[in-house]
Amino acid sequence: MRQNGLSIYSKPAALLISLPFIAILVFMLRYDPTISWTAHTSDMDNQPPDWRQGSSNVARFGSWHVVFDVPDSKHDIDGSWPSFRGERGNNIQTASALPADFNSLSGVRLLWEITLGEGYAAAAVRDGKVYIIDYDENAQRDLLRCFRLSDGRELWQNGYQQPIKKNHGYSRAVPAVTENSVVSIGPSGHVMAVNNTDGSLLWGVDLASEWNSAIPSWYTAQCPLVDDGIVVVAPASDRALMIGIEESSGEIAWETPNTEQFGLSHSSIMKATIDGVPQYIYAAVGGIVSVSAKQGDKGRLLWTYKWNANVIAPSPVIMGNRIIQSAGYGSGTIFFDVSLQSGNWIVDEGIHRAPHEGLASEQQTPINAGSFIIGIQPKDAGALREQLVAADSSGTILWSSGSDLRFGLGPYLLSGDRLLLLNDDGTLYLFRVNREGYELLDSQIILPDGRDAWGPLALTETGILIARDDKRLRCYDLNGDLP
Amino acid sequence: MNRKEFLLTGCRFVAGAAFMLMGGYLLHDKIDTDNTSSGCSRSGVCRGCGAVNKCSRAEALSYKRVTGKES
Repeated sequence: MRQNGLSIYSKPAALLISLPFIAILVFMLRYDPTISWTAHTSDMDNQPPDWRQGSSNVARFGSWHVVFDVPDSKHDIDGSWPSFRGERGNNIQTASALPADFNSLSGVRLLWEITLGEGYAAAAVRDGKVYIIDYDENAQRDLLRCFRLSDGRELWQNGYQQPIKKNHGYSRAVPAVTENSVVSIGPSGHVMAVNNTDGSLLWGVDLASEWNSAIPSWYTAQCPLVDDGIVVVAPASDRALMIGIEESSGEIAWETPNTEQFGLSHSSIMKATIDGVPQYIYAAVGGIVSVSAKQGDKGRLLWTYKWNANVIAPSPVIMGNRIIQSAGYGSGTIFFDVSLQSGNWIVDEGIHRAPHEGLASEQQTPINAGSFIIGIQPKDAGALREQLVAADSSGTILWSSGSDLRFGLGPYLLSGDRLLLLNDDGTLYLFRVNREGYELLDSQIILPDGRDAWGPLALTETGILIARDDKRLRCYDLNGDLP
Repeated sequence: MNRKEFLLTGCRFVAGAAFMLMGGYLLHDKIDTDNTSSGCSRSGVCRGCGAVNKCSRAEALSYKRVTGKES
């Protein structure tokens, strides 16, 4: 084309015109606009810098200890739920708690209520006393508190200064109560053991400053495991994967090196026996690990299974040789088998199911009910989202509660074939469940105007239920027959 | 009416009829569901409910399964 003798197709003109476009193309190819971005993770909310690892704010264990002058109780009540997921760590109470004819919640009786700092920590019960880790927001103090089971009167509290910012509340874990002591883990990773009678300090270990643990998103939710006089805890740091602490003295009994550099999760250590070998199984960030719990061999790493899930709250579920581990935020569930063959641990490849492909759980740990697993599907589970489900050991859904019965992140436990499920809003559901299906027996609001009722339930063999929402702890006599 | 107008009018009638049929189907389905499923006055508790045999809610189906009352 020629206009007034100037060809716009001439080489210099074409180069001149295309130069800006080439420059833009080069700029677009070379410039990464996300380079200045930082990944948003839950733990960043309101947190000061460098709070997670090797905190210089070392807690002064035992700096706060109060024993209250409380008159004797008129009626003592007995009952036990001594640690996270109960006596056997399976979230199943003996059938005597809810007898076979327990079909209604209309007779439940409120025994007492106390106000707590915001959080999700839940109660442990032993010998007529209730123990819970709490946070005093005004004093900025972690508190291990003890209440009388019969009337909720506070007996003592032991704590230490620990300024932290609210991040979905503060408190998280369930203490473990033994014959002599109570062991708690605070939201910032402070392991503390006190005398269970008067709350006097036995010892304290700071996982962040002493073991270099990186406190995970939404604080530490790991519940301590006390096994045969040893407190088993996972620092999951560059110093150790798992440690055993003498319950009586606080001395380190054994430690397991963190060869894979797995990280601290919100999950808790579960004890299981596989192929005759007792072991501690922990779902760390980076993978599932097993450490020997066998006398004379404690602390030895047995096997690992790598799995990259960023936020792990549920604890491992063990069904025979099968390990079932769920995680939230789209991670789904892995199912794999471990076995001891000729002295070597063999870990199979396993299968992974996305949340819409089978059993999954975001926060609570599913229950191994023997021939099936009970759980609540997460929000990203497609058509079955937020439904109560039963699944087989490979995660195949056997039944679901249907679209009219959806639940949030609340806790649930079994007693015989009765399932108690607390919804986020404080409504308690009573189901009869088996492998074939479920029967909804009743529902009742036990935490009126409840909010984020996510703390695990405690149910004693005497039928006492302790439940919480974000700021209240309530104790109910389910059978309504206690004095 | 030319050929183009005839075809367009015919298509409109066919589409209208399809929409009416679909609406009728959905309405029928909703009425049927209302009778047996959504209209539960017992918050999903089936034990002692007189309508459970005809009910198609998930709770009722599971109830009939676990109690062996499936027809």
